[in-house]
Amino acid sequence: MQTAEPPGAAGTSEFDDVWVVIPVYNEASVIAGVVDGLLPTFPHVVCVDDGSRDDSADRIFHTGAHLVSHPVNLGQGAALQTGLEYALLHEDAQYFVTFDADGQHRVEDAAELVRAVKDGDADVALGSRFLGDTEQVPWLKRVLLKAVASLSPAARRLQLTDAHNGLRVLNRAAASQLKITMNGMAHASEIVDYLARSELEVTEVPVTVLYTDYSKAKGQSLINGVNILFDLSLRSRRPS
Amino acid sequence: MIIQIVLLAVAAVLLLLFIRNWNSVQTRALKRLAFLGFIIIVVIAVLRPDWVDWLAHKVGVGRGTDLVLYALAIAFVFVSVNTYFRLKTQEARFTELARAIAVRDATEVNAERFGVRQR
Repeated sequence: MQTAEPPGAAGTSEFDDVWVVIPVYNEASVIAGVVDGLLPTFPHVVCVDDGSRDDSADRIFHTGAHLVSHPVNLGQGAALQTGLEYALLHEDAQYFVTFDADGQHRVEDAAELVRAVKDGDADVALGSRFLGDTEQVPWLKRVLLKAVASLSPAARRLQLTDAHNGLRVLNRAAASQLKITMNGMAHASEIVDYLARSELEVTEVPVTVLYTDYSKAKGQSLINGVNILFDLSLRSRRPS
Repeated sequence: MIIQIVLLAVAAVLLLLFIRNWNSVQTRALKRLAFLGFIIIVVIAVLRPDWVDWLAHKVGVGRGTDLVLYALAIAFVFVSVNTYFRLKTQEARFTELARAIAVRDATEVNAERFGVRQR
């Protein structure tokens, strides 16, 4: 399939074969800034507006990012899957970055992850808050995320230090095999689970998460962990 | 006492089997048979309360009303699980549909956006 190039994508760059996928839900105040921060480095960005009630879609429309709009709100997992499927339609796309809309990820970290997959043996690179300096992470979150990473059998098999980081890079093989069925927030564990069962080579790269007041307010509440555990525990037995 | 443990174990095993194959042909048939059986038991329980009492004593759960309550509780769990899976399946189909629409529209819109407004 052929799609015209977005503005600013003229010429070739190191990351011409990379697509950045951003699930967006009610992020009107920050999304344009996040996209504008990405575009100079990554010419291909697709934002999946997950039925936002604010004017996120309009903000995205006026940036150089591709806009895919869910007709109704489906959840972050569903938005990620939609974005990946849209990006996969572009035949020259080889690497797929998942990136949070709230501005908590750094563009240079994303570039680092892409290089880890491009230049290394890995099929998938996951961002980890805990490989480098961990002072940035609020302590309660640190304890909880560490616990999840060490309790989850899949995360243990992959020897992950951080099981719930929104910054990931997948190559084409990994992205086309991935089928996110958990529409809500349980998709993070689902992805780790999928990676652990697959033959794919997974590596972790230290990243810095910017805990701004905005991203903190938007972040998942800890109580949502109960919902995630419940959905996941009933999932594997469900015929597809 | 032992009979109670056996009953609970049977209920747990049935539930697990149900979760694994909740919508296979056999399970769907079983669900319908169970529903019929349930109606018949209700009719009997209404007409012959003493039979329920007798059965309750046999399996060691005290009064007949207790037995009915336990049976209802188990039936409720099965119905809840069934509804949960049904909704999940529905949700998966709905998501596929919404995604197909979103991607189709986006392909058109973005081609137009970047085709016309190219700098």
